[in-house]
Amino acid sequence: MRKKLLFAFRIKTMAALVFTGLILAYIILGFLFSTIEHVQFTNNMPFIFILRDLLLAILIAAFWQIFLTDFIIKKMRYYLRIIFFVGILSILLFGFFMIFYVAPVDWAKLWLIIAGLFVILIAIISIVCELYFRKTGKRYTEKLEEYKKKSDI
Amino acid sequence: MKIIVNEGKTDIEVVINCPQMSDEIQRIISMLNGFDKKLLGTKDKQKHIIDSYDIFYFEMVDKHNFIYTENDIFETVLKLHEVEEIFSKSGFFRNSKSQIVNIAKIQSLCPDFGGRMDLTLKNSEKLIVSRQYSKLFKERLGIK
Repeated sequence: MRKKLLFAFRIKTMAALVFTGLILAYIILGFLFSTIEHVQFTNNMPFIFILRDLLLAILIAAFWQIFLTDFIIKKMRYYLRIIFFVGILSILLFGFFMIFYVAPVDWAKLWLIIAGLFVILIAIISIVCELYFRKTGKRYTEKLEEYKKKSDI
Repeated sequence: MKIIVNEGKTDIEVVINCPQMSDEIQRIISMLNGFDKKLLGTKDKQKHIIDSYDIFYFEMVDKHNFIYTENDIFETVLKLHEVEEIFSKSGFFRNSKSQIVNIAKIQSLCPDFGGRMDLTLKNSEKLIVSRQYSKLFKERLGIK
């Protein structure tokens, strides 16, 4: 039960970050795309779009926790985790693109750019975070051992 | 409750005279045991004396407090703030609103998103230090 709650808690935090990233990516790239392609970009965001993004963010966060942490899969080399994660992420984004965004063809290029950049960005962020957390974690654990010795516990 | 202190004895002895055993009495016993780094825990209606060295962490679940050792779980009548008072100077640390962990039983630490920290215990169980307590924990370990 605790493990499930902890897992859900991590997904919630991660989904919030991914959701923010998706919305920001849409706004920034939408603005740039409309400027370059000379097409109209309104700042209005349909409610259904937010719900789709939320669902996507939760799924990405769940796969992140499954593949990029040792919470579910205990032992797997990190590069294999990245390969699996990026593969699933690409399928997920492509699936969302095909199901939800296939109608507005004039914006197809934007969605492909967002999806591509998002996959690359997530892969880079996950590698950087992993390296940072490992290094910091090692330093924290060293400090913990020092504390144990010093306090004689 | 009447407290009588008789000085001039060679050993410290605490005798509790009461009409019958109650939660309050058990709590007093647990607190007294705490000074001796021992705790009274209940499992399957059996009372056990638990050495604080064997405790991995304390947790409050649905207003009940539990003691987790490597492979066992015992219920205690002590409240978390009482546990914190007794054991904070014995290497225990409040890692979240509902948990107090034995620092000696932490195997590794890892930072997490949102200012939290992941703890892996020596029995491979994972706990988190919530953002609220993370700063205090870092200060205690001397992490800048």
